[in-house]
This record gives sequence, C-alpha cells and structure tokens, in this order.
Amino acid sequence: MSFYRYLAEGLFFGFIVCIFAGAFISLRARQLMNSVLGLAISLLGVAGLFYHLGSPFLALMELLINIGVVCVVIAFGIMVGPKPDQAAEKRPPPKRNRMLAAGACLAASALLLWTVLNTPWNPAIARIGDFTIRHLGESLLHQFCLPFELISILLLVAIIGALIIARIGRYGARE
Amino acid sequence: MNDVLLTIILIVIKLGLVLGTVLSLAAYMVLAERKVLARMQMRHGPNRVGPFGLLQPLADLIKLLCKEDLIPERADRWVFMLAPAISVGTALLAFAVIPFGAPLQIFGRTIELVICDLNIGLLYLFALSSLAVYGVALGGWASQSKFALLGGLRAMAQMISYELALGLAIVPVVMASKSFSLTAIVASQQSLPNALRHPLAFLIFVIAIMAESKRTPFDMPEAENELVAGYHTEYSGMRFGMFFVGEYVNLIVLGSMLTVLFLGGWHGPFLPSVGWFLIKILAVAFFFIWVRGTVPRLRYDQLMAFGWKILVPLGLLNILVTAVWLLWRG
Amino acid sequence: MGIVMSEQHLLDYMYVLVFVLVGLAAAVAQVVVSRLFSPPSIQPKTGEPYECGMDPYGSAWGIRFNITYYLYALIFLAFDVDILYLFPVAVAFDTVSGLRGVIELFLFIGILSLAIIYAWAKGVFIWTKKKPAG
Repeated sequence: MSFYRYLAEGLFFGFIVCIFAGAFISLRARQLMNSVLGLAISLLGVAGLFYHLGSPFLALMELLINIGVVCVVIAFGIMVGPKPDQAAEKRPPPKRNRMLAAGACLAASALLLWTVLNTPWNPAIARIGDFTIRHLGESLLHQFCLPFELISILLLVAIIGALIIARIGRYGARE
Repeated sequence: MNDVLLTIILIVIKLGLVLGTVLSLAAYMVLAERKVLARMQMRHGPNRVGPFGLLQPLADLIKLLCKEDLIPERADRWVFMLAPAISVGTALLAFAVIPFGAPLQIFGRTIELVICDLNIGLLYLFALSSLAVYGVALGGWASQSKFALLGGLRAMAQMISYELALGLAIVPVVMASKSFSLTAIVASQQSLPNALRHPLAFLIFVIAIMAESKRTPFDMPEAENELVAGYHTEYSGMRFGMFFVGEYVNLIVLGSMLTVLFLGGWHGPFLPSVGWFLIKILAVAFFFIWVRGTVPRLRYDQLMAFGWKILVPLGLLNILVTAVWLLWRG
Repeated sequence: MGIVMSEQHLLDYMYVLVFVLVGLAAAVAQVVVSRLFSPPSIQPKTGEPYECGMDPYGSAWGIRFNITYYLYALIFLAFDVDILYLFPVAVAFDTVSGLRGVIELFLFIGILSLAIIYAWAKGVFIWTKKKPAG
C-alpha cells in the first residue's frame, strides 16, 4: 500500500506548488487578466486539496463556483471597467504603502499561523463519518431545512443588492 | 504491488483505446460534417483525397502540421500558447467518466467499460463544461486582436447564459435516479430512456448543449461573417488545429452526455452495448450537423435573453413539476 | 500528517491524473511536431493582429464593453451557488416523506425565481446603447 501513500503525498505537494505558483503569477502579472488566470490556477490547487481531504463534492464545487464562475465574473468586470492607468502602474509604490502592505501580510500570516498551531487536527472522517453527497442532501432536507430556505433568501438579497449597486454605477445615483 | 501493476496496465489500455477512438472519431466527424453539409447545400463536399474523400482528415492533419506557427507580437505569449491546450484538455478529460458499454467479463475479472466510475461523475462533467470556456476566452483575450477578443467575450457570455439551464436540466434526472454516478444513471434507464420520462428537461438540455458546443444557432464566438474567425482569428497551424480538434471532441463529449443522461446510455436490443453507444452518439452528431445546415444564427442579445427569460424559468418549473410527479407516483 | 483518502479515492485520482498527463503530452507533442515541419518566414507585418489588412487601430485590451454583461454575470454567480444546493437535495429527494420535500423545494425555488423576476422587471436584460463620449 505504500505506493498509494507516496502517490498521495506527491499529489499533495503538487497541489501546494500549484497554489503558490498561481499566487506568484497573480502577483507578478502586468495585466489584470493574468492575475485572474493566476487566481484560477491557485484555486485549482485548492480544489485538489479538497479532493485530497476526502470531499470530492467540495472539490468539484470549488471548480464549478470559484474557477468556473467567480473568475469569469472578475474577467467580465475587467472587460467592462475602465482601463487602469498604465503610467501609474509602472511607478514604484510609495514607501508608506510598502510598509502597510508588509504589515498587513505579516499580521494575516501571524493570525493564520496562530490558528493552525492552536487547532487540534482530527482526521475529517473521524469527526462526522458520512461524507456522501446523499447524506448532505438528507441533512439539508431534514435537519437543516430552515437554513436551506434561508440560503435562498440570502442569495436573493445578494443578487438584488449586487444589481442595485452595479446599476447605480451605470445611471449615477439618481435611480 | 502486482495488483498495482495490473491496475496501471489496465488504465493504460483503456486510456489508449478511448483516446484513440475519440480522436479518430473527431477527425472523421469533421469529414462527416463537411460531407453532410455539402449534401444539404447540393454540393459534393471533399471527394478528392482517397475514395469518397476518406483520407481528407489525414491530409488536413499534414497540412496543419506544415503550416507556419504564428504568435502575434503583441499577444500574451504564454497564455496564447496555453489556451488551445486547455481547450483540448478539458474536452478530453470529460471522457474519464463516461461509461461506454456494459461491464465485460474477461478472465473472471469484471472490467467496467468506463475509465473511472466517479460516484459524482455528473458533477465532474458539469464542472468541466464550465471550465471549457477558459480555452476559448483566454485564447481570444491573449491574441490582443479585436475580433478574437469579441469572440472570447461572447463565448463567456454564452457560457453564463446556458450553463445554468444545463444544470437545471440535470436536476430532475438526478431526482429520479437518486445518484450522480453516470453508470447508475444509465442503469436506471434500462426500461425507459430519460428522454421520455423528462421530455422538458431533455429539450432544455439539448438546447443548452448546443449553446455549449458553440455550434450554429449559437455560434456567436466564431461567427465567421462578422468576426472573421472569432476567438481563433490569430491562431495558425497546429494551434488552430487543436482548437478545431477540441471543438469536435467536445461535440462527441456532449453527444455522449446526452446519450448517457437522456437516451438510455448503452442500453439497446440485439447489438453489443458499445455499438449502441456509438450509434447514439453518431445520431446526436448527425442531428447537430442537420441543425447547422438548417437554422440561422441568433443575435447575441436574443441568445442571452432566450437563455435567461425562457430556459432558466422553464428549468426551475420543470424541477417543481418533477418533484410533484415523484410525490404523486409515490 | 492526516492523510484521510481511501484507496478507491486514490485510484480515481490516478485515472484522472494519468488522463491529464496524456492529454498534456498530446497537446505539447502536436506543437513540437509542427515546429519541426513548419517554415518560419517572419515578414515585417507577420506579427500584427489581423484587422482586414488595415494597420491595427489601437489596442484590443483597452475596449470597454457594455455593463449588461457584468449584470448577467452577477445573476449567474448567485444562481450557480443555488444549483450547488439543489444538487445534494435532488439526490436525497426520495428520503423526505410526502408533501414536505415538495414544499421545501417550492419555497426554495420560488424565492429564487423572485431574483429573475426582479431583474426582468428592472430591465437588467435590456441592452442599452452606450451614450457617445462627451
């Protein structure tokens, strides 16, 4: 069985590399569209990690929602929005911004690290047991039927809110 | 360890067979399309290379291989090179889960005629179909040409209008067969194909996959008389060929999806199961070519309005009707 | 490290992985082969984007498209998340008894349909012409 084990470990590190490569591409990109591509590659790695953790449903939903939809929405946003000022991009950012960015990064990673170190990591299977999509649906229909309906209200509000905000930009604030 | 070796050999054999079949089928699909379209327009179509033009795909391949491989100066080089590979890759990957025949018994081992029977195979296909737009959209964007960009944008717009209808049409099938596994869905259609059980879902699905395949009533991304060649305007040689192959492989994928979900998969009397599967795919492909020879192209605002104002509400309604029907039937 | 994958899982993985590798190899091989055969002939205008033989006018990346595309995309985003919830519910639909499941589905879909009705009524699906600049 060790063969499978090695394979799993190798794939795990493959996904990690994928995530970091995507992040790197995203950061180094000159064109916004390349950043979106980097984000997509990064999310591909995340989807792989979900699969690795034993939830193929989440992995595919990551592909479907985050890569298939969110990135496409961002791409539309780029094509619809104004072109960023090329000259401004080439100028090095002011020193204060750099300090702020570094501070934010450090704070975020410290927070993450603290969480990682303080969480008891149980294998996911041991926690719940049944991970099948059928079980998920069952619990949505029986145990969590109120949240299930609330989700639709949440989505409705999200759509309407997004449309209102986008259309205010379109017609000015008079509507 | 021996078992591992055997498994790997089995994977390789299956992969080779499936990939070989699919790619050669795609090549001959091109020929078939040209022939059938020509006949519909009272022409002969390709008939010079080999008997009945049967060697035409080979000639095309050699021609494409010998063409100059251009990358426009202003293009985003890496993305430009990546895009055709994504286009072919996502199309080919879909075949990993499609069951193309009844399980075989060889040497006392049962061999499933599917490369890997994921228990969420349907979701896998659905996710891949939403990724397929990346090849087209990135190709169109990376060329930095206006025609190509318009083509890529239209491809994305089309995807967001029809992906939803596709998903909504799948839901009733899943409700009836209680599984996302494609083999289970095929098995549930032994007595009656889903096309008869869920006619409305079938109709929505056919229209949605036609839009997904970017074929004629919905071929906005490459509308040749307004956008030159749309997203692959700047592509030449084998890269163009890859987009082309990707498109036809995609046609076969969608044909198999339709077959598996609605036309009863490999079930059928008399003939071996793989034979039935092939016949059904080819029938679907012929239908697509027929539509291409008959129906004019939509305008893109009509196309998006059709998706959102008709297909999506119908799809939602259909789910409710199916729910009531399942309840009534008990 | 908590490896929680089962063997079957890994096998599925392997199939898909091998498929990806073979696909990539096929994609790269074609381009490499064509490199060997294709004649390079770079002329002064070879690298320019095609614009019907005229000199290219401006860059394609600066074009701003109609915002309606974006509005459609936003609605699509929310609806796709809705499908994400409909899928598991559809699989387990036979486990609820009687009217309850139907009522739950009716509520869920009914509320969501309001989004389309809202967008329709507010004219999101109507394409407006861009006002000429200035």
